[in-house]
Amino acid sequence: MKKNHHYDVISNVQNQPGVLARITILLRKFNVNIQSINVKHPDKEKKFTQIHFTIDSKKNIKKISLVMKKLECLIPVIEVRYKEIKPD
Amino acid sequence: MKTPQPKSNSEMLGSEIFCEAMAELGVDVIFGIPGGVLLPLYDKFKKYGHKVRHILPRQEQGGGFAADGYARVTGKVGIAIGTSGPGATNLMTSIANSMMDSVPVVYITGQVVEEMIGTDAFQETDVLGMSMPVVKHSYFISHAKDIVKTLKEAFYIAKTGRPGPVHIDISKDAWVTEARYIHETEVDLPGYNPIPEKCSDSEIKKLNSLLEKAKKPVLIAGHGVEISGAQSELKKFSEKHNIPVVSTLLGITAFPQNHALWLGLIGMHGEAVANLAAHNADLIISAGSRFDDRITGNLKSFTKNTNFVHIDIDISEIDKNITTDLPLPGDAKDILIRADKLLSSHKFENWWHAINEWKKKYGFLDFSLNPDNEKDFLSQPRIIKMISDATEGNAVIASDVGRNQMWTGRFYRFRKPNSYITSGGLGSMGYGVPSAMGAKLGKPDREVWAICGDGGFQMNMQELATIAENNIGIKIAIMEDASLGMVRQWQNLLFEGNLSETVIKNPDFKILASAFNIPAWNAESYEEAENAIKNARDEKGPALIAFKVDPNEHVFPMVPPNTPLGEQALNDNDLK
Repeated sequence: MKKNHHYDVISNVQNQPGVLARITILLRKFNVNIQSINVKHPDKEKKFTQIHFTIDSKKNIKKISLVMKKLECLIPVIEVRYKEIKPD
Repeated sequence: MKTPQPKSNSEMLGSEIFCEAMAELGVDVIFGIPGGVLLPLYDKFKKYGHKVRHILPRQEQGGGFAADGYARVTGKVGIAIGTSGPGATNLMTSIANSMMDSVPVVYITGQVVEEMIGTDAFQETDVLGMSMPVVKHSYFISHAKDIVKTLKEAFYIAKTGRPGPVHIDISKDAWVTEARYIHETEVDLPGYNPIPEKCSDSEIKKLNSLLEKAKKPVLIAGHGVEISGAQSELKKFSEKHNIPVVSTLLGITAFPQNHALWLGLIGMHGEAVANLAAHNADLIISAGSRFDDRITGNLKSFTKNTNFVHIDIDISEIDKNITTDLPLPGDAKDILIRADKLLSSHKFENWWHAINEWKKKYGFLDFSLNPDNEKDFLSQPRIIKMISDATEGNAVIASDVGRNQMWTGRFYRFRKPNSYITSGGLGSMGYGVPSAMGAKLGKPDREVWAICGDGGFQMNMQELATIAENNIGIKIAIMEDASLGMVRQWQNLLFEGNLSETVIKNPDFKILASAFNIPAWNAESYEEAENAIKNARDEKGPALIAFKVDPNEHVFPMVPPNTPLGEQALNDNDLK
């Protein structure tokens, strides 16, 4: 069995209903599992939201980069940063 | 019930704001079906009928495909409307189709009043949740004040960058609330970058050393070239470097088909020489194609010993299916114009010698892979060639999905860009007739043919009523083989001829058409076929022909799934 890779993902998005749904629908499409999720507003006006995920997937860093690019293509997603991490 | 009226002069009802916005955005035709929650909107359509024409399809999928066909031939944004619940769910296939083929369509669905959402109200469905994975973007609005801004953003998103569908779910409240019509609205999309950061001249110059090193280059012309309007730049580029050009199905009119550098369609049912060239190439330059599995065949073999240059406006397509040696993100037209200035010219004479030998051996753009079929039936590729000759390649062709689609790609000799509309990525049967209807409304001066199988035709044949009612002058060619033909081909060749549920009993299509007062002919001989094509073209309005074609004539070449392009089957025996 292929081992799972773990990633830390921070994405800055517009603060709107449904943005998290768009992101999780995309992660599901690629069979990515969410281990933890943390949401906060980086700005006083709450115009934006920072979503911090840890995820695991059979995809290596090269393949997960495609998922991250697709995430970035979502209209309300402003930026995505990610790195591979060791599991807890 | 009294029609709602605005209370003051400065404010308008949402329903009127919507109609005004359609006119301001330059929409000339809407494909929609009314329903309970859309009643206030439809109440205003008569008043605005002189500005925006409304076409009533007989099922929402037909309306969606029509808007998609309209958008493909005009380059404008198509509009399809369905009511809440079933009207909206019927649009889903069409939304997915526009997404797969990058077509700018704005889909509007009605929704129950906001207060009732979540109560499982009559005709309530979470359609925004349903469409989310297959849209470029989507919105929910429930007040008149949001209509103009949302429509303008939706049009902007649908049309810019890599085009795609935008879905707006509008609750009934939006039609009956009031707001001012604000012409100046700002597009506030901080996360949307339609054009990727411009790649530098030095990146484009790297193509020089790849071309210097290459002995066997191939250029793939994809749909992106047509969307970008880069046909003449692509031609200039290929001529400067003397590179053979192969086309994807959706890019089939991106390069002139009578050009000496053109090798035809590539892929599962591509031209033999196009597939051999791509299989043996040491450099593949793709412009506006996404290396779909139907064009690459077995990926390992496709990428072996080959350098790849990928020009694409969507950065998430680069390095998706193949690893790129030189990514050139951006608009195809911009990159090809700059490449022309930055690169020196090349010649690949030995490569052309090999290609010309393949042409001699396997034939090129001819029937050498379709020798005489059964005498009792007509040959489908020959009928398509007859339509091509009769129309001199000038028609818009909307094909359905299956063998008719592949043979149209191979044997209709297109002479104008943006002229072949087909459901490429989704492969949705039933696309042909409604998309032809939309194309004809978008380009009334062009001759438009729908080329369908009998299976695909019956998936949206209710649109004959729409076509007859509005006298939409499309010509419908049904390739009648009493089969779901492409699946039958696979069963014949890969499942030992076990024809499981692919043989169908058809209605008499001539009688069916006559029920709609559409002139129709059956054609069982080539003489009848020729007369029927002439008669259909002489009709000002719609016409239909059912050609009795051979159910066992197979499309060759055929690259079975996961097989290298170079190992394409050229006849039945190759697969035994």
